[in-house]
Amino acid sequence: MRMKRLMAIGVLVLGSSAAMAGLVSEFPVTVTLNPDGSGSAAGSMTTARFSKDLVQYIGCGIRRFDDGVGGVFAFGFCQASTANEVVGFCESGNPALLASIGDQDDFSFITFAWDAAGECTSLGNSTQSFYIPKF
Amino acid sequence: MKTLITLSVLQTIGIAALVVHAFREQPHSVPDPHPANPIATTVSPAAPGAGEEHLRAIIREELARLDTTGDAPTAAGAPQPRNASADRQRREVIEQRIDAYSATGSITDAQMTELQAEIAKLDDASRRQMMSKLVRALNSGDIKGRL
Repeated sequence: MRMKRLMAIGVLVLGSSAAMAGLVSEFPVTVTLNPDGSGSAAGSMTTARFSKDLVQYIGCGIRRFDDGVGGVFAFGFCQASTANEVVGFCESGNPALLASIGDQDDFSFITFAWDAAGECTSLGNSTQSFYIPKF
Repeated sequence: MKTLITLSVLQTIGIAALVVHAFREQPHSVPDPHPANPIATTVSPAAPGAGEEHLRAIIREELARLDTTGDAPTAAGAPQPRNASADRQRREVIEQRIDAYSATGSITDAQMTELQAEIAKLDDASRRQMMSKLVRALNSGDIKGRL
């Protein structure tokens, strides 16, 4: 009788573990800085957020300011910091790149690159199940 | 036979009447190429010989109407003209502030927001230059902070 109970509990435990299975991919933030001032960065938002260190981050955003003469100054930006505090930043007023920032999600894997002037030259994001953290 | 001849004559007369009517109507049935243009709707058919002067008078009337109703292209919301001297001065101040943050080595989030709000007030070319200067300072590590 006791053996049967243990087996039933074992099946339940294994069953719940199976329900939580699935590929999980961690991707810490990386930043590459080139001598001419250009560079690139990549990383998973989830990995950065739940990393053990207190410095890792990656993300993009859009800011809009009243220009004081009846218009609006809008720019998009991306920024990242590795676990070793190597940082990378870029900004852009390109409407197409600004639109791609709006496509990013909470669990996105983000990549961006910039030229020597610090202007974003590419922005990418990928939202995959394996970037969602284990709960 | 008599009846058939009478009907044939009446039919011919009817067709002739329709043709004449169609030719008279033709000038008015040409579709207006600018039906939504409020100026075009107020233009009365120009009398032969009136030509250019008549059109000038209409344009003058329309411009005067726009001025009095405030419906002119310079209505509220349109960008105001820039003051080049003020732009230059503002840009110099921002440049000095970025240099000061570089010398200090850091910028807080509040200072960054304030700086960006100031950059927004510059002309397009200066904005690009100041944003570039700021981002380069961040990438080189001269300024520690976040955008």
